[in-house]
Order: sequence, then structure tokens, then C-alpha cells
Amino acid sequence: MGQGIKEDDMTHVKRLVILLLFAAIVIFLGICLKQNPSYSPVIDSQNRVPAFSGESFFDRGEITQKRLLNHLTLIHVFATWCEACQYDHPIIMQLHKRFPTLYILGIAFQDTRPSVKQWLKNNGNPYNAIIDDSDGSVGVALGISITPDTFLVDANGYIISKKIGNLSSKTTAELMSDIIRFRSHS
Amino acid sequence: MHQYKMRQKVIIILVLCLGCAVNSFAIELYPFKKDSEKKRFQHLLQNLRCLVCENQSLLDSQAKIAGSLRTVIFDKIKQGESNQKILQYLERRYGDFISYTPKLEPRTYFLWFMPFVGLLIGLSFVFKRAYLKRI
Repeated sequence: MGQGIKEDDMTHVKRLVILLLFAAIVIFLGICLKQNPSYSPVIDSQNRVPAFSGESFFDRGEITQKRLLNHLTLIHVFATWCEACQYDHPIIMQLHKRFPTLYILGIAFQDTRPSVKQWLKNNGNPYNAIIDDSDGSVGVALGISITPDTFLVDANGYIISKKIGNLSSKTTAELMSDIIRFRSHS
Repeated sequence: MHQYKMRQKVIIILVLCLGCAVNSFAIELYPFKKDSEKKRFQHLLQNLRCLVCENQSLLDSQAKIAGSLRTVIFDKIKQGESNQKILQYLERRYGDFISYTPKLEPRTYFLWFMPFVGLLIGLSFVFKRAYLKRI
């Protein structure tokens, strides 16, 4: 009789342990389900822009990370073959008009000279300089995975903010307020 | 009848081999002088994840960014950089995400050792049950 009660207690404890384990697994998987499974960038704000070197689209000279020093820079990675990029171009034009002294560096990712030339002719040129990144190696050096991307870099080469993908009205407003905030520093 | 079946088998095997050929065509676009460099290239690409199409390696992916990553790795191998240095370069930019074999460090202990812990727990159940039954 006494032993029976003991065994009953044991099965209760066992059941409770199994139930708790099950609950733990469900909660764990539930949390995992909520997380974004896609790639999240490592090179982000508060990091220095990594070293890069590319050919200038306009004068075929070399452009390196040194080009970012001593002034606020907006880097925009785009491609003429990229559908989404055509929606960002007018925004970059707008930023150029609003902040004429802002240095804007374009990176033509995996593109060709003739199509970039045509693109600028059709849509206007907001860029102070463009890197002709035909093999995409500058894009890789900056750690991009999709186009377009927009970085705001301070006068010491540190990333103030980084926007991946298309600019929305919200992210554009954030960029603008950062430009205004950091313009006075440099 | 037997011969017909045999021929069918041969055809199936040949068709399956075609699948392997598709994988290696990308490699041929990258001319290496040394065979060892080519092998390193292939090995690296197989163990790196494409960032925009997660279930493909850099060897298989047709994505634009994967092409650029291949070019960068190709150039680095030709410049004589070690595998470790190349991986370091990529991990600094793309994090652990890019590697199919995450580093062994405190943060990844759970990932690496959980299967073995699970196996031990399972085995302990099996042994316990076998032992209790014998009594």
C-alpha cells in the first residue's frame, strides 16, 4: 500500500518533468519563430567603414576609404539593373538639392559604364563621385548583400547610420535629421 | 527484357551525373594555374552560405552578390591569402551567418554539444529500460 503511493508520486513527478520539458521546447521554438531568420548586417552604425578601393566612374582614378575623410559622406550603393534602385534615385536627388554641400559617393554595383552613363543622363546626377564597381568587390568590402544600400559616414570614416534596401519616408527623414545633426560637427 | 532494364539503369545514372556537371560549371569560369588553388576555392565556396538564398552555398548560387563574393575569394586565393584570412575577411563583414560551420566558442556550445547531450539522455533511457526489464 505504502509502496503504491510512492510509485504514484514518482509517476506524477515524471509527468510534471515531461510536461515542463515540453513547455520549455514549445517556448524556445516559439521565440525562434519570432526571430528574423535572414542575414543581419555586421557592419553597422558605430563601426568604421572597412578599407575599399575602386575605379572612379568619372576620371578612372582610384577611390579608397580615404575619400570619406574630413567631410560628412552619403554612400549609396545602386545598380541600373536593380528595379528597386530606381525608386531611391529621386530621393538621393532630393537629398543632394536639400544639402548641396553633402558629399555623395555612388557605388555602381555590378554595372557597366554605358548603362550608368545612360541612367545619369535620364535621371540626373546627384553624385560627387561614383565607383565603377563592375565586379562587385567594393560592395563585398562594404558587406552588402542586397541593393540599394545607403550609409551616412562621419568625417572620421565612422558609420552614423546604414539603411538596407529601399529608403522609406521614415528612413529618409531619419537620414535627414542625422545629416543636419552631424553637418555642424564637421 | 534484362538488357532493357540494364540500359534504363545506365540512362538514369548518366542523367544523375548531369546534375553534378551543373555544379562544376561555375568553377570553370575561374581559371587557376594550380590544381591545389582550385580545390581550395571549391572547398571554400562549398562551406560558405549565399546571403540572399539561404539554402544554397556560394558554389551553387546564381545570385548577383554570390558572383561578387566568388570573384573576391578568387582574387584573394590568387594573391596567396590563406583560407583562415579569407574567412576572417568575410566573417568581419557578414558574420557567422556566412559560414556553414560555426566557430566553436562559448556562444555556440549549445549548438555544438546539444546533439551529443540528447544522445546521452536517450541512451540512458534505453539502458535504464533494458536494465529494469532484466530484473
